Amino acid sequence: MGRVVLPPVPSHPYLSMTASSTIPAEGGIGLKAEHYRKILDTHPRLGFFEIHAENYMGAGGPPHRYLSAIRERYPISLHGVGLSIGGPRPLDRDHLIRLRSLNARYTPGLFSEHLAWSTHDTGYLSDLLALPYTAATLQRVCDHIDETQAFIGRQMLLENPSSYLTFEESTYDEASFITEIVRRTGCGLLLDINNVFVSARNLGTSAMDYLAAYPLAHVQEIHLAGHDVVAEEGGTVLIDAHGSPVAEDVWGLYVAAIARTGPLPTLIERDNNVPPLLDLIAEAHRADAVMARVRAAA
Amino acid sequence: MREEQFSAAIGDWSAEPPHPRFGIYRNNVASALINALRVRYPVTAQLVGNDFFAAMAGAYADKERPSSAVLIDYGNSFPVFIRAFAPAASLPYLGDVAALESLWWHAYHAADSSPLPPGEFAAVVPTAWEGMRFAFLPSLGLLSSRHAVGSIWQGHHGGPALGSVDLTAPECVLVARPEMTVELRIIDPASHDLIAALSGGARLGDAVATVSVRHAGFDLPAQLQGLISLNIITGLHP
Repeated sequence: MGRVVLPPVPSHPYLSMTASSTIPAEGGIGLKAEHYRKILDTHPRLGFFEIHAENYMGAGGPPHRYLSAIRERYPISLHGVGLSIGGPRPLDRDHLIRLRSLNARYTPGLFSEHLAWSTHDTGYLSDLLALPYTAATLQRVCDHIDETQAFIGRQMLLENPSSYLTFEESTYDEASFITEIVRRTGCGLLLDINNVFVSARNLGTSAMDYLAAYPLAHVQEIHLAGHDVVAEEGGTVLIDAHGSPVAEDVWGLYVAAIARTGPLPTLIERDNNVPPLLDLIAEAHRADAVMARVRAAA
Repeated sequence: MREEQFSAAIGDWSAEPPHPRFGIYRNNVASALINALRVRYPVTAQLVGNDFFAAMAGAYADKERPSSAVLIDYGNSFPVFIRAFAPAASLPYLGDVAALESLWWHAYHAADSSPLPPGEFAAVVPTAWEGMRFAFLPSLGLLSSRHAVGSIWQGHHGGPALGSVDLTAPECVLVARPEMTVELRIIDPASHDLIAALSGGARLGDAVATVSVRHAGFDLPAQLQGLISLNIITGLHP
């Protein structure tokens, strides 16, 4: 008989109380299947784990078993990648139902989605696609956020995208567009510092100007990730690839942002070339150190 | 570039890119789908190598887009695509290996359920067996192949080296997850047909009548004992 060996989850009856939902202003990391076992065995010091909602939309099996065990010990943030908030099509009701049931089952401290789209006549497009910033798309995005918050029964955070191009019809800059979304819907914000950096470099704008215009008071979580530098005609383009450590320039921008916002839950995102657990924890602890310096200076 | 140009070009990969950087989005979509298939079909990928797999998965992704954002469900028809994929024709077992991996993936993510404890079977009155219908684990999957796909799969998961396997020998394989571990077993063709009939809703008496015609020397007590020992039955209903 062939079997893929997957040892049982250790039970800790004395730890049967589920950890608080509230995500502290500390570093956290994305939860990866290859780290399930080590997390439960070593119980590392981390503020939280973030999950991609779509990875836990299967009916059962080890993903849910491990996540339940990890949820008993850590707060969880729930991060959706497929709701298509920015698309012209109606939101997928089945997907909203799945998101609502994950919210109910795992009581995440924060729930976030993207300012992007992914549903198309030809099927689901597995990327975070760009949209123009106009009065019409603003209305569309706000309607979708209203619908999501009402359906799931909680505030959602909206994440700023990484941009590679702009649209002719845009009449808002991104920071103004996001400011207006927050004003109209009451959603919170997830500020992806790597996306700010990547977009500014790709579009030839200033990341510091972006932060100055961005509604920082509404940020409840920060994302940090690595990007790829790829050659193109006449120079380079930065790709939001999540396959390498957070770049030094992005750490610099994070320090500038945290100095203004104060400490916030900060996620190290890594989806490709996933390194050993300890490498990701070290990056999360580096975010903790930045926040400790900001606290000490206050 | 305008929104409708973007939307039209992202749906049709052969269309002229409307912006010099448009390829980044197409590439992201394609590589996410190829990666999802690589995660679901790792042995298939090992058998053909990374580059061939990426080309084959890319051709599939160009034709078949996911129906939802739940990529766990993406690639159900990949084994059928592989069987008809001409460049892979020199590996006639490849589509069935993929079909087996698809069953494994389904079992891994299937709803949890508990097999009946052995005592439940001992309590059945012998004359009642004939009229029984069986319920099975939601993770149950069956495959009957003209190739030794169970042995190939095991060879890639710490089983006997493939040098000792006759790849042309037909094999029947059962996949199920009684607890948290997906189990894969090579079973005899009569067991395969019996479980297939029962999981299709047949009463035991009717299933045996059909299967014993096809398999000379069908040994019901031994088959029943084997079936119970597989730990895949979740209910018995007269």
